[in-house]
Amino acid sequence: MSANFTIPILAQGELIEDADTVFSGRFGASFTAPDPTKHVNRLLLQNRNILKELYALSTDDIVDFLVELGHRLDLDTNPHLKWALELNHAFSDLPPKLCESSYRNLTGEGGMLSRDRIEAVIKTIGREHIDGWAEQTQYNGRHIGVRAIGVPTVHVIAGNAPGIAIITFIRNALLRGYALVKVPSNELGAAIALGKTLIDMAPDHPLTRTWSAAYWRGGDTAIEEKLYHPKNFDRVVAWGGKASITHIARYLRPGLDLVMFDPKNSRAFIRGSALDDEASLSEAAMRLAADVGYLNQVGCANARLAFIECDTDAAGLAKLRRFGQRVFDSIQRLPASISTPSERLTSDFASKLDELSLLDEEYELIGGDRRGGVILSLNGEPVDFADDLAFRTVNIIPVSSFDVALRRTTRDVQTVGVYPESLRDELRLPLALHGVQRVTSLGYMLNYDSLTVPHDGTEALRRMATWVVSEDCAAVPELWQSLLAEPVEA
Amino acid sequence: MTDIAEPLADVELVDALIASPESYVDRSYTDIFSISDAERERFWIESARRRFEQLRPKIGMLATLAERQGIDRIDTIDDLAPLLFKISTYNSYPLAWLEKGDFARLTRWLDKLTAVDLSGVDVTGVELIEEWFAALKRQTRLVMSYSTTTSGKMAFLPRTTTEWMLYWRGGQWRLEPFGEERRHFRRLQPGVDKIPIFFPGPKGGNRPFNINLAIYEELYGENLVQAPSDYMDADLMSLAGRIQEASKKGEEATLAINPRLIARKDEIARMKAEGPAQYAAWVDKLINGHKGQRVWVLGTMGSVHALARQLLESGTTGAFAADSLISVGGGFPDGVEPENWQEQVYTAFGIPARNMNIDFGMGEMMSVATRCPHLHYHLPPTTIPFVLDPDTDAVRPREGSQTGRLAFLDLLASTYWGGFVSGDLVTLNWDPCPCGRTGAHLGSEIGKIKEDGEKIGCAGSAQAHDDATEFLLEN
Repeated sequence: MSANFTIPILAQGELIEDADTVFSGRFGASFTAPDPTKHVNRLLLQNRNILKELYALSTDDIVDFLVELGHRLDLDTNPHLKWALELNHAFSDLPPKLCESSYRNLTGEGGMLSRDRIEAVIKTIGREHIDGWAEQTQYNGRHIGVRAIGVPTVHVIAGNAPGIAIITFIRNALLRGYALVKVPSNELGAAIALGKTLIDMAPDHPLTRTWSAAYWRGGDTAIEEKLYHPKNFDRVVAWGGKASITHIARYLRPGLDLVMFDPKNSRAFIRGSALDDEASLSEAAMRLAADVGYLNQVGCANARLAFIECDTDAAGLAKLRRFGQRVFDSIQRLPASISTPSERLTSDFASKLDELSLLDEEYELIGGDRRGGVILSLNGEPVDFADDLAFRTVNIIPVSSFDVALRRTTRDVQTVGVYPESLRDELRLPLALHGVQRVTSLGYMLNYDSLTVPHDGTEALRRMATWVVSEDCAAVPELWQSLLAEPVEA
Repeated sequence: MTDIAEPLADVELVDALIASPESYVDRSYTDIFSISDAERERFWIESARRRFEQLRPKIGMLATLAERQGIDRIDTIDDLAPLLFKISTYNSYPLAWLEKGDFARLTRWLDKLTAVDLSGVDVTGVELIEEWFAALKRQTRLVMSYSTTTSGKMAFLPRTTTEWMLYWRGGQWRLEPFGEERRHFRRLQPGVDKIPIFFPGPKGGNRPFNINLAIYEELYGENLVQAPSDYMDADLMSLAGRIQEASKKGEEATLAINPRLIARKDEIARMKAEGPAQYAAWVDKLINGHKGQRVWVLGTMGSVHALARQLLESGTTGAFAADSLISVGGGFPDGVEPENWQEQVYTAFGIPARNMNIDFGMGEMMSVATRCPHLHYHLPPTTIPFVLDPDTDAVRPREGSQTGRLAFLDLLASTYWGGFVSGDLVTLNWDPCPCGRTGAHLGSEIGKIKEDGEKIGCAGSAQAHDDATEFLLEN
C-alpha cells in the first residue's frame, strides 16, 4: 500500500505537516498524517481568554467574514479545495462527478455562505443572543441579560458531504466558540482545506485561530481520553455512526455534554391514487427517483423505503410493478450533476441483492446493479436490510393503510416525503408522534436546509451554545436587606 | 495404520483425489501434505470445476451468483473468487419468519442452498428452531448446524450425515504423524481406544463441535463425552443474537419471542440454577474420577486454559496419563493469548507439549488446519484459500505473504456450495514452510475483521447463551 496523500493537522491557525504515521484508509488506499498523540496538546485551548478576542467582533463582522470566505471557496481558483477533491476521489463513497458538484455547490447564490442564508441561520437563535446580552426586565423586577456563548467543542462530523465541515464552521463562528473537528475518513480534505483557506485569507484572525482539525483513528484512547474530558472540552457534537457514538459514550460524565446527530433514514409515503392515472404515476415516480438518487443516496434524507397504499392481489401487484419500473427508469434520467451510476457496488451489498433470489416469494428486484435498483415487497414486509439500502436502491412496500407504515416508523426516521401534498396535513402529527423529525413534499427530501430549520429534531445552534444569564438585582428586595436593617444584638 | 491406503506417486494421488476429494482421509497425512504445487493446482481447478458443474443446477443461489458474475465454467482459481458466498447468505431469511414460526417458508428458503431435495419435508407443528432441526433430521439426510452473528440472525448451514462423518474423519486424520514429526501420533481406533473426552462446554446441540461429540460417542462408546452442561439450545442462541442487536438500538422491549420458548422458562431457569453446581461436579469428576488415566481434553484455548488454571488453583498438577491428548482451537475471548498458557495447561493436566494439537478451523470448513512446530496453520489441499482485501474484496495474489480477509472453497462440501468469505483477518504465506508441509500456511495471529455483522466466534458464544437466558427469565 503506497500512501500518496498527506493530511496535516490544523491546530489553531497553524499547520502541522510532519506526517510520520501511515493510516490505512477506505477502499484499500492509505494516507500519512502527523501522529496525533504527539500534537494533541496543540489542539487544546490552553487559555479560555483567547476566546475573548472573538467578542471584539460584532455579528456583522462575523457575517462579513463568512461571506468573504464564501467567495474564496471557489473550486476553480482555490488550490486547497482542489486538493480536498482529489482526496475524495480516493476515499469518498461518491463518484468523482458528484464529489465535484458537491464542492461546487458550497458557494454562489443561495450557497451556505451567502449573506441571506447566514442571516437566516442567525434568526434560528436570535441575533440578540449572539450579538450581545439580550436584555429584559422580568416579571419580578429583575433585570437580566441572556447570551448564547460558544464553548470548546469537539465536532465528530460525518463524511458524506463536504458541506458538513462548512456547516460546522458557520455554527462555531456565529457562537464564537472553539471547534476541533475530527476529520472523517471518507471526507479527509474539507475541514483542512477550509482551514488553509482561512490562513491564506486572514492568518491572525480570531476565527482562523479557533478552528482546528485533525485525523485520528476513532476509538484511539490515547487521544480520546484527553479530548473527551471536561477539563479540555465542554461539548461533543457527534454526527452519525453507531461505532463513533459508542466510543464517545464511554467518556460521558457530568461536565461533558453530547449533542448527537445520530444515524437516520428517510422514507416516502405515497397515496394509492397516485397509481391510478398516467400523469400522477409519472410524477410520483420522478419525485421518488430524485429522492432516492440525489447524491447517490449517501444522505440520511434520501428515500430508502417507499410505502404506498396498494393491494397485494394480482391487480395491485401489477400496478406496483409498473410503478417500480417507472421509478427505476426515472432514476436513470437523473442528471449526472446530481446522480450517476455507482462506480463501486460493495460486495456485501451486491450479495444482499443476490440473496433476494432466495426470497423470490417475497421480493422482486428491478435492476439491482451499478444503475440502482427497485425492490418490490410482494407481501408488504420491508427487506431486513432496509437501513442499509444504498447505491440508488429503494424498497417499495405496499400497505393496506398508512397505519401499517406508521407502526414501522420510529425516531430513526428523519424525513418523510409525502405525495400528494394533501397527505401532509393528515400525516404530520401521527408521524411526529412516531418520532419523525421532518415531513416534506416528495421530490424535496434532499432539499433540507438543516442550518435554517430544526436539524434532526434539534434547534442545533441553540443546542450547541451554553446559555449564560447575567442578572442585575438592584431593584429586587432580598432577605439580606432586612437582616442588614435589623439592629445587631451585642 | 490399517485403514490407510498404500502411498501413491504424486500424479496418481492427485488423480485419485480428483475422482474423490473425500478420499484424502484414506491417505496418509504425510502424503497429502507432500503434494507438489503444480499437482495441487491441478487438483484445485479440476475439482472446483466439477463441484461447480455438479452444484450449480441444484443450488439456486449459486446459479444466481454465476449468472450475475457471468461465470459459466471454472478454468482458473481466480474464476472462483466471485462465486464465494458471504456468511450472510446463510442468514438471508427475514427474521420475521423465526418470530412467526414460519418454518415451511424457511424450509423452502433452505432448499435453494442445498442439493438435498426438501420439497417433501413436512413441518406441521414446528414452532422452534430445535424442532425444525429435528424434523429435517427425521425426514432428510440433513443434520443442520448454525452459527450466530451479532447482526442478530442465526446462519443455518445444511450438511448431510455423510458430510458430518467426513468432518469427523478429517478430525481424526489430522492426528497422524507428518514424516518424522509427531511419530507417536495416530488415529483412534473404534473398539480399541476408549478414551473419555472432556469438553468444557455444552455437550449436545447442533454446533459443529456438538455434532462431532455425538459422532464420537456413536463410534467409540456411549457416555464417553464428559461435559458440564447437556445442551446448547439453538433457540436460546438465536434469541441471544437478537437481544444483542436489539440492545444496540435500545429495542429489547419490542422483541417478539415465540410463546413456546417462553413456556420453557422454568426448564431454562432450572438449567441456569444448576449450571454452577454441574460445572463443579464435572471438574471434580475430571480430577478424581480419571486420575492418571488417558483422556482427551477438547475445547477452545480459552476454556481449556481456564480449566487448567482452576486445577492449578486447587493444587492439582499432572492430572492425567502422559499419553493423553489435548486439542484446542478457537482462540481466547479477547483475542490475546495469555503468557505461559500452554505451560499451565501441560502442568495441570500432566500432558506433554507434544500431545497438544492446536488447530484453526470454523464451522463452515470441513477440515481443520493444524499448527506446525513453526507455529503456522496448515490447511489440507481440500480447502482452496483466498486472501481478500478487507475493504474492496479484491483477491490478493497467490504468492508471498498476504494479509487480509480469509475466504475459501471447501472441496469436501458436496451437497452445499463450499465457497465462503469469512470474517477472519489472516496472513497467508505461499512460500514453503520450514516444517516441510507443502502448500500455503496461515500465521498464528488470526483476528476478526471489524464489521457490524461480525460473527461471534466459539470463544464468545457461551456468554451470549447466558445473556439470552437472563433475558428470557427477566421477561
